[in-house]
Amino acid sequence: MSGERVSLTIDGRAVQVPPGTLVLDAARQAGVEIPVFCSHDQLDPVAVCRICLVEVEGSRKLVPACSERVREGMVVRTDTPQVAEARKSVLEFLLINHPLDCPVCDKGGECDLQDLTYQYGPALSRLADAKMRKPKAVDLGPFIVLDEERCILCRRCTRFDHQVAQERTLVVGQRAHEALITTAEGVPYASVFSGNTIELCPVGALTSKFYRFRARPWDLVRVDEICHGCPVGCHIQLHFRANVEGARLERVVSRPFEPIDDGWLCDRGRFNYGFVQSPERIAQPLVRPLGAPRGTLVPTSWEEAFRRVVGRLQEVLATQGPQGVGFIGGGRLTNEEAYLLQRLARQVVGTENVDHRVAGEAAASLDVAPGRITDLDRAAVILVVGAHPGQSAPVVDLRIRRAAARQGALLLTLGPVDPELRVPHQFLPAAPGHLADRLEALAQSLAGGGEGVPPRVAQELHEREGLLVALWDGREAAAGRALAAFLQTWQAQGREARLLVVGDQANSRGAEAAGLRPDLLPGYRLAADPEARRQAGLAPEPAAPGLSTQAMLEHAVAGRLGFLYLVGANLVETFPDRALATAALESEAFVVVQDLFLTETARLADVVLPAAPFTARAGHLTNLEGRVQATGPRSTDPAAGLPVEAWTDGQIFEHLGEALQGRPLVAGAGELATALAAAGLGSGTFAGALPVALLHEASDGSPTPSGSGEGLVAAPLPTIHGGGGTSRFDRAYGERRPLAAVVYLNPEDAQRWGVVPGDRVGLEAGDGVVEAEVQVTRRVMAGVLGVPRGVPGLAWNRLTGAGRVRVRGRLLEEVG
Amino acid sequence: MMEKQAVSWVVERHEEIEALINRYPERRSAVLPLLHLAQEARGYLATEDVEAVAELVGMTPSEVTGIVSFYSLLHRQPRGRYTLTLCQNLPCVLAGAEALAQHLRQRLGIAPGETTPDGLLTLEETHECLAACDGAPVVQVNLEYATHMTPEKVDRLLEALRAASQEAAAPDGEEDDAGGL
Ligand code: SF4
Ligand code: SF4
Ligand code: FES
Ligand code: FES
Repeated sequence: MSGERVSLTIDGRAVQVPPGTLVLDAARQAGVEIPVFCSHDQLDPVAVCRICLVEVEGSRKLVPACSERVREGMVVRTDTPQVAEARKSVLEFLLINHPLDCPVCDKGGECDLQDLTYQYGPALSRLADAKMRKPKAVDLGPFIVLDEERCILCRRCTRFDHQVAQERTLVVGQRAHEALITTAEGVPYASVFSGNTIELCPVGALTSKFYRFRARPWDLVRVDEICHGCPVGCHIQLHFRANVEGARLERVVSRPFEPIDDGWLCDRGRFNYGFVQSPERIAQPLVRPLGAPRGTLVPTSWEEAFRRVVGRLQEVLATQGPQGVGFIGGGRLTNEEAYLLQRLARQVVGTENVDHRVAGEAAASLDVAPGRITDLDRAAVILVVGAHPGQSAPVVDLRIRRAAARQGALLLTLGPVDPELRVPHQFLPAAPGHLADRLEALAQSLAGGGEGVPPRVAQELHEREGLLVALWDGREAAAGRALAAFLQTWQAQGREARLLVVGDQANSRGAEAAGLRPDLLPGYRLAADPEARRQAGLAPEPAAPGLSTQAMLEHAVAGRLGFLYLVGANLVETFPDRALATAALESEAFVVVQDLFLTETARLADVVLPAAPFTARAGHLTNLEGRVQATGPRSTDPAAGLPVEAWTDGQIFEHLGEALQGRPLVAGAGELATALAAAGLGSGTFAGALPVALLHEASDGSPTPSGSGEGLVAAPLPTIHGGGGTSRFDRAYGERRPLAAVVYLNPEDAQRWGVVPGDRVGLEAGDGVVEAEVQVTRRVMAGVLGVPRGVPGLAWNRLTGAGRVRVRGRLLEEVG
Repeated sequence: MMEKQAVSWVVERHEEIEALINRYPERRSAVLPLLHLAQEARGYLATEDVEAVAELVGMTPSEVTGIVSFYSLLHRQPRGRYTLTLCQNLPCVLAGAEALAQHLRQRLGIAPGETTPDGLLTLEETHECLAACDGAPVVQVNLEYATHMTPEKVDRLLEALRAASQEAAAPDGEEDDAGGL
């Protein structure tokens, strides 16, 4: 198959292409350009716009190059008068009712209709009658405004929604000259992938609410970047507009990279950028005045802030030793910054208390059957364990949808709450804390046994040949071990298996690989291994074994950890036990918080250091498949007009290192790059993965509610538009995607607790009462309460901390 | 989600619906017959009808909306008991359809697309040929043709329609709600 070639000529140039190639692509290969509107590499051809008409010898009519497949000996011409006339006519038709408002159109300057009319179209219109008028600002969804007059009905947007997103919300309505892009009545186009249609639209019909009327394409400065929204690591481009105050970030667009994103972005990655220039960013260092209660913070200078941090750190070292100091750095750090932070902790301070896990996850990778995102394309079976890919790895979810809907992959989901996948799949309910049991049963069913596995699933798993790709959310250590065993059983049967772990934050995997875990040095070398320690320049024996995030918090509460340093970690919001996180922050420990915003956590700190956003730094991120990708280069924080004095996280670490030990933390950029390469984090390579043996219960921060009795077990759900940091401080974005305090119940439980959908209820847990609205859905298994994470006003981690949750009836005062 | 209250025609005409769906190898092929059935039941297609049809054939409400809006014989607004569709294509216009349009609007006191306050008549004008040019000018009454129309014939037609509706309403003296208004 691969060797087969079809020969044809296009404008007299001979080309050889694989059978089935479109004439359009063959022409591209021959260096002949054919104009298109409706055609797009990632969408099935429809041939509705006719701008690509070409002459094919032997064919009576012109044929669309975008849907015609090559044939042996085919003779194609694109340079004849007929073709030129056809292009001109198509453009004249498209322009009949077109408003020609290029001067005020966002797309002007990067519009296919403008460009092709200039190149091939008639100079003047022959239309004598008035143009048809249509609505020019239709509110299509949270982020998109439709100008019906500009739409040329190429159907790229609707095809994307049907073929790629598999959602079928956006359709063509009406007929002929009245045809328009629309949705069902009362249904907004609220897909989490909606923004892609803006880029797909060849004209200015679909415009971004954030970018509308903000810039002209030729004024934009473009910077290549990696999205920091989640661990998928999509390739993006940042568009800045310079003005007297500096550069303003005006929009984020895709930078197609097929191995990861196929050119698609989710709406979080595309629209959640306003935080970079939010006036709510912390403008200068803050300190809690001596003797003032927690929550009191006053501005200070960097010198004073550093003096306090260093002074207190030295005091604690003198009284409690290095074990009294802990560093917790969220996964928003680059690989380099994560490395520097653990080096600051281990080499300079001498403590092993470092961790990146701020949300109760056990691992960000696992060294069984390491997979790549593209493995999903050839999967025969996809098994989603605990993860909600549509929320926490959205662009990967597009591949899952495609594999299931268009390639016939068997899609299984396992966990307490069935993720919203938009495509047919089989849900295998498994209670929180018991995912391992289900996975063990599944493994046994491969060998013919296995109780509790639906016979149809067991049979399918038995029969399916080929690749199985598992996605795991990295929670519940036991589930990780059981999943590893399941994958090994699958492999033992001569079938291929791959695993992707969806980390909690954009660079969880990089932080893990860089050694931001108490039990691991950079490069997945054991912190307890004397040889590895010697090579890292550490004492052969740690003074004390390192503490995990949870243990550090417990030690702070117990008065044994007097200094806690948090970087980009809003623990009050993200840690599964809010009571513990809050108690630790309110303890006697000296708390330093390094962040962009005054988060719930930062408010309780002793010193707050303002960190610069990702746009201000260069480095590398490691995505969920382990791919090490460069971000940057860049040197400025585009805080146009903001009186912000922020340092990048890395600069702060280096400054602290130098202040503490009197010499730089690393000798220079060269040494840093070497250290990272030695840790398996060389630019452009793939990182290693966590040994299964390191999946300890102790590192598993998600407590399993004990005791039976009445009550529901809370299962936290990731939310794409929610979060502990950037999204909650991005006003414009938050307004477009308001997050309701909603919890999810199974119909049986709703009946048992006497609630109906829409009720506001009080949820009683060990730690007080949380109010929320109830939604009833079969996606949640019986006995479980689905609680979204990262929703302002819904303290999900009060419910997951301890014990079972009781639904304390309807709050009747809400009814009136 | 909690099970929604089923739309009445879905329950009442369950067997007919099943038969329609089973007529085709794919469920979605039954979308048009089902829309006609739903429209027959209510007189027009309410949002819940669109949703119900979507659910029956495994499409999204958006997809069904797209189909409904494509066909001029499917209506999303309540209609009068009778819809008068006046052809305004060239042959009919040459035979006097424009004057007829004027007359009808005045007589009924409504514009095209509107329904008389008593819910009896909806006026439509179409620029697509009704495919009965030999009888130009043509008025379509629901699905039937009235040909070679003149203002006088239109008046008689209107009277006949009014009389027919009163008769239909008379026997049990109930309000005539066929128009759905
Ligand atoms: S809105 Fe844009 S992408 Fe959609 S059909 Fe119209 S021109 Fe094409
Ligand atoms: S999927 Fe993740 S990396 Fe990709 S655009 Fe969305 S948030 Fe960014
Ligand atoms: S690009 Fe070929 S018909 Fe539109
Ligand atoms: S023009 Fe009126 S029926 Fe043909």
